[in-house]
Parts: sequence; structure tokens; C-alpha cells
Amino acid sequence: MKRKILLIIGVLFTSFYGFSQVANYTENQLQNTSSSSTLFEQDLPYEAGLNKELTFYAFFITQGVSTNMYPESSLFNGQLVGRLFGQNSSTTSSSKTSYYGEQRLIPFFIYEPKLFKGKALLRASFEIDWTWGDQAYGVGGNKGGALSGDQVNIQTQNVEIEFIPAKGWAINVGLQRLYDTPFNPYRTFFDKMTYTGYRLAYWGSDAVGISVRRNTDLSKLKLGYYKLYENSTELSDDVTLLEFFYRRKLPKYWNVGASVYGILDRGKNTGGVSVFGQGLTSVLTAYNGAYLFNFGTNDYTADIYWLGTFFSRNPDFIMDRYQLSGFFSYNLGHVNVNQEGWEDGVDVSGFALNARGAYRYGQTLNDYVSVDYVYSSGDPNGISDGKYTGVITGNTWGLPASIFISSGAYLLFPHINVVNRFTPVVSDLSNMGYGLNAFTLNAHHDIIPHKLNIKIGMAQGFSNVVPQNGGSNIGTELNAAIKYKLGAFMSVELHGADMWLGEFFDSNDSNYSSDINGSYDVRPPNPWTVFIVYKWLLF
Amino acid sequence: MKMIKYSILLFAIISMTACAPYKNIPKLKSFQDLNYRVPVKTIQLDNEIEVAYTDEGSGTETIIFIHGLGSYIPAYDKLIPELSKKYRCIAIDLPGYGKSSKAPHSGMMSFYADIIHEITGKLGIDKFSLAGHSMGGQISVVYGLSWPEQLNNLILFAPAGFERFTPGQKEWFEDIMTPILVHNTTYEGIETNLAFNFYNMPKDAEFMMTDRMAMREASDFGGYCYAVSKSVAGMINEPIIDKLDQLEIPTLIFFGENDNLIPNRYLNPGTTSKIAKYGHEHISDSKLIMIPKCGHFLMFEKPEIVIEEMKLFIN
Repeated sequence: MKRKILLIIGVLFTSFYGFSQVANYTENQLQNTSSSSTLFEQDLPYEAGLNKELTFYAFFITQGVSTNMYPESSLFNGQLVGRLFGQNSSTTSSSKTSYYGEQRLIPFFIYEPKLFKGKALLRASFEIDWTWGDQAYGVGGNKGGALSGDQVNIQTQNVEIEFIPAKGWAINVGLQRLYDTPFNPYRTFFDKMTYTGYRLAYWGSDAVGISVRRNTDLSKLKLGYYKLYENSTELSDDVTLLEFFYRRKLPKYWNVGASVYGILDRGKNTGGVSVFGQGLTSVLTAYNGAYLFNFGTNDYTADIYWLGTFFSRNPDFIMDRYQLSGFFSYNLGHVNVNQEGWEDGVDVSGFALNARGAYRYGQTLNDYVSVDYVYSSGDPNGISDGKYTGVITGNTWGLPASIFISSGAYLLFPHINVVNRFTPVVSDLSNMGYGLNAFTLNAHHDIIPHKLNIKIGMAQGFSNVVPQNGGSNIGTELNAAIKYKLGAFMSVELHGADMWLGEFFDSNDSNYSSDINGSYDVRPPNPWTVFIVYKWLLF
Repeated sequence: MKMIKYSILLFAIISMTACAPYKNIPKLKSFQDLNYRVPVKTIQLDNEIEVAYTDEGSGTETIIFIHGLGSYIPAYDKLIPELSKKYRCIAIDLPGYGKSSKAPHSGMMSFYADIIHEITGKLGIDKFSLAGHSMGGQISVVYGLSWPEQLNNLILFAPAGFERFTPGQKEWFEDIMTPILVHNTTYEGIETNLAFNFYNMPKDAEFMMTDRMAMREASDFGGYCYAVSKSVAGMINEPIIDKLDQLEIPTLIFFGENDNLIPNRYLNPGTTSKIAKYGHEHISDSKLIMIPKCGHFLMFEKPEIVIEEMKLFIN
């Protein structure tokens, strides 16, 4: 009996021991399994969906244009840029009408190598324009898009490396966007660039150089060094641009900022854009509607600075219904002239200001009315007194480098729907040095929210200095547009504008630039334009 | 001219030394430090997820409130104080949001519906009304399709899911809505993202902005960013638009007439009323309330109308 009991106990013990070992083994095994399989369970796959190494996007625009503006010189058949009635031979006609189609593709390539993910990237963009069947950029021979018309018309817009050494920092090296706003042009919608800072009225182009940005939640800082022109590498004959920009966020959706730009011009009017040259004495100024410093063939050196401040309220126009923005920019500097040895030439001291207000009355960002005012000082007597009191912009060094395109005007000021022909009545803030006093009124309405929009507007400009045999009234413009969205960032638009030129164009004064009214001895016919546009931002 | 120079200099100095725009951004070590109107309770679910919720009021009817994308319990701060006088009101922080746990999850609408189902089971609530805003509305519809027997009413505030997206649009959405995108949203981005929710943004909505700004410093912010990203994918990958006909629950649908988020202004631009009517026509037992001069966040912008209509509907 005892043996049976002991045997039972032994069996039970063995069974329990065995079972417990099995249980322990299973539990350990489970624990081991669960510990290894759950080790990474709580990790967030944060890298998921990060951008690919190579990103491509593009902007495409094609438009059919009808207008009474055209170049008189066949040299400009392919491309016509600058002030209407300026040195570019652009003119208007009461009997002739231009019809043409043109298109632009701007492809962007961004390459972010995996090895430097998030720290270094290459960015390149190009501009491919042509007028249907016509020359591309005035390059002779092949006609763009004509039968058998292979073409050489690709422009390198940007090629730059961006380093991001730490959060909030960006260092851009190479050919890059040069915009007079605090926002990073590669991370900001273009519209926002045109309504902030100086609205591209001073600098709205590309330049080669290096820029450093420091963005925080409350501030944006930008420092830039750009080489605008380098003629002979062994000589000090360059044009160098320096840039400092600071913007700070304030309570109640306000932002303020200040900037300093400086140009050190030792280019002596050599180099520059095509055959036009660049600088204060170049024919480029007569194309762009800037002031021409008439030193004859004498060399000059110039140090020009721009001290400015700007503000904006509710720049995204969504925080509430009121949007305000403005800038004040004072340009100063000194020009030396080499006549019989270097001597004091001209002191520069002029300013421009802008104020824009808008009220959003409806649901979308496109339900609003706006008023936009711009003023620039003029010079009543040119540089004969050793002073220039007008405004200087980037248009003195580039074609065009300053594009005040967000005023809502189509003819008085440049507009954004441009490919190869860009001939506003006032293409530079200085208005050739006569100064400017102008405003635009615009009303926009979304008939279908975010889909169908109409716009009507008007613009009125006056010259601060009355030219010889002319008046101060530059002209009055009426315009309208209807825009329909076909899809995401794809639209078809119809635009039209008519302008009644004022007495300003009775003058053929050429003391400040080229003839005010071009080839006419009397006031030229009024300009008008109608165009239908298809736009697509592909990404 | 000297005066001009000095004016610029003075303006610049004043500007640069001016005060910061938001003095009241709270300091958050984690999302647990968020300041809610009432203390939260927590409930441990079977999958180790801990869900935070508030439980206020009492009455014959229980209403469970589900917030929208990127939001949290305080989204209902203008409804619950009033409604809790008459009903039991439970508001839930979905996993990944607010004070709930931030462990990675699928973000699918069905996942969130399962979570709600488990919560109601653990709280012993058999029958209730389910109210959801935006993404929360889509989750509520999924719940209604899965457990219709549990619901007395569905209340949808500008629900997501009433518009159709093509496969390409879905892919585009998923591509851009990465955790990193959410993580890197700037102050200005946070401001405008919130403002787009309103026709006229109420002053007292600013705390949502400052809370969202503060969240960026929280230790569990990554989990939130991940949840937002996954939720977007969840919304587009579990569409409800073709299942609305199957809903057989009394449904109250609210839309602001001027909703800038629905329909999606980039992908499906058009009127909100068209979207709202589509949903209303396809849900057999539904009532549609279109609120004029009102945006997407209608419970915050026009709470009086919402409360009144909810009481009428539930009673």
C-alpha cells in the first residue's frame, strides 16, 4: 500500500514536475517569442512615405493671344520683352491685330540622395518656351514648332545645391531664385511670393550665388551674396549683389520685416544681357523702362543700396476677412564717372512705397475686393544737378529682373500670364525715372467655390514728373477674366484688357530713356489684349 | 530724406523687438498635459490601447462623440456643457489623438469603429446615439453599418466620406500626407489649417491653435503625426460612399454651407450642398441641416443651431 502510495506520489510528482517543466518551457518560449516579436512593435515607421530620391514636377502654360501690340523690328519676332513703346520696337496699331499661340514648360527636378536624406539635395529647373511656328528666343534658323522645327530654346533657370545642416537652416549654392520676399521660393506657392515683401517689384528673377536662410516659427532670416555679372575674371569688373532680409511674426496675424540690399557695380556697362549690356548706362534700361544714366561712353562705378521695410497682415487671407500689406524702400548710393579721371558723378536718393488692402466677403480665398496703391519718386531734372531722385530696381541689370505682376493689371503693369511677350506700359517701378502714382481696383468672385471664378478690375497710373509736351496721365485700364478649374492645379482661363492711354504718351521725350511714345509723334493707339490660357501645375 | 531713414530704422527696431504672437502656448511634456475642460477617464482595451474619454451628464439617452482628423475631445466643448444637462455625453479621444495612447495602428475607419465598440462594451452601454465630426462622421457611419442594432441615432457633423476619389487621387493623398509633413507643419501652417475649418473663425477657437503648436514639443508627438497620416489613408481606403444606402438608422446630417474642406477644394472643387444632398438622398432615414455662413467646424462655429436641432432630432 505504502509502495502504491509512494508510486502514485512519484508518478504525480514526476507528472507535475514534467508538466511544470513543459509549462515553464512553453512560457519561456512564449516569453522569448513575444519579447523578440514585440520589441519593435511600438516603433513608428516614421520614414514611411518620405519623398522619393528623384522628384519631378512641372508647370505648363499654353495660350492663344490676340492683341494690337507687336514689334516693329523683325529682330523681336520670337521674343518681345520690355516697356511698351520702348527700345524693343514694340508698338500698337489701330488697324493691325496679332494672333499667336505660345507655350512654356518649366520642369523641376529634385534629387535627394538616400545617403544624405534630408541634408543635401540637388535642384534644377529649366524653361522651355516657344511661340507656335515662330523663333524661340530670337535664335535664328529653326522656327519653334514649325514643320521640321527642332529648336534650341532651353534655358537653365535654376541649378543649385541645398544643404540643410540643421532644422530651420538652408544653404543654397548655385543658380537660384532671387525674390525680394522672405519666403523660401522652393517651399512657397508663387502667389504668396508676389503678395509679400516687395512683391518682386525690385527683384523677381534668378541669380547665381549663395544664400543662407534661418527660419523659425516666428522669424525668417535670409542672407545672400550673388554675382550678377563677371566679365573679365582677372579684373575687378563685376556686379555683386548683397542681400539681408528679416521678417518677424507679430500678434494678430501681423508680420513686419526689414531688408538691406546693396549692389557694387564695377561692370562698366560691359557683359550683361545679350547685346543690351547691363548697368546704369546700358541700353537695357531703355528696354526695361528704367532710368538711363546718360554718361555717354564714360565708365562709371556705382554703389547702390536699398533700405526697406515691409509689413503684412493675414497674408494667407484665411485668418479673418481683412488683408493688408505694404512696403517702403529707399534707394541711395553714389555713382562715380570716369571723364578725365574719376570724379563724383551722381548721388542717388529715391524711394517707392506700396500699400494694398483686400476684403474677403465670401467663402473662398477668391471672393474678395482689393485696392492696390504704388508710388515711386521721380526726378524732375534728371541727373543734370548731380542727383538722381528716382527709383532703381533690378531691371537695370536684368531682363526683366523686376516684375510687379500681382497688381491685377494686364497692360499698365506686367501680368503673370506671360511667355515670350512681356510689354507692359510701366514695366519698371521707376517709370523711366519720371516716377509713378498708380492704383488698381479688383473684384473677384467664385461662382462655383474653388472652381469657377470671375474677375473685373481697373488700373490708373500717373507720372509724378510731367514729360516735355506731355501730361501726367499715363492711362486707364479696364480688365476682366474668367477662370475655370478643370482639375487639381489645372485651369483654363479667358482674360481681356483694354487701356486708354493718357497725355503722358503725347510726349516723345527721350531724356530719361527711349522715346516715351516710341515711333509715334502723336499719342499711339490704345493697347488691348485678349487671351485664352491653359495652365497645369503637374506633380 | 534723413527723416525717412530714421523712420525706417525706428520702425525696424520696434518691429524686431516686438512681442511674440502667442503668449499662451502651453508647455507640454506629453499630450497628457493638455488642458481639458473636464478631467478625462481612461479605459484599457484588450489590445493594450488606453483610451481617454470624458463622461458628463445623465439621461435616458447616451451620446458618444467622435472627433475629426487631427482633433481631440475639446472639439465638442461648445456642445457637451449644454447637451449634458439632458443626456449622458461621452467624448472619446481616438487612439493616437489627445490623451489616448499613441502606439502605431492601422488608422482604418473599421479599426476606430472596433475601438468604439469595445469601449461601449466595457462601459456596458447597449444602445446610444453616435455623433461624429468629419473623419469621426465617417467612423460613425462605419459603426452604423457594422452594429446598427446598437444605435438609436447617427449624428454626422460635416462627415467625411460623402465624396468620391479616384484611385490616382487616393494615391496622391497618401503620398503627400506623410507623418513628416504633419510633423513639420509651421506656425503659419497650423494657423491656416485651423482657419480653413471656419467661415468666420471664432475668437475662442484659438486654443486649438496654441494646443497644436504646443503638441510639437510633446514627447509623444510622433505618435500623433503617425496617427494623422494613417487616418488619412484610412479614410480614403475605406470609402463609405457606396454603402450609404445600407444605413437604416435615423441620421441627422449637418453641413456648413460654406465648408472649405468638403468637398476637397483641390481634387473635387464645387459646392458643399451638392455633397451634402448626395449623402442625404442615399441615407434613407436622414434629415439634412445646411447651416448658412458656416464652415466645416460647425459645432464650434454655430453651436446653438446644432444643439437645438440635435435635441429636436433625438426627442
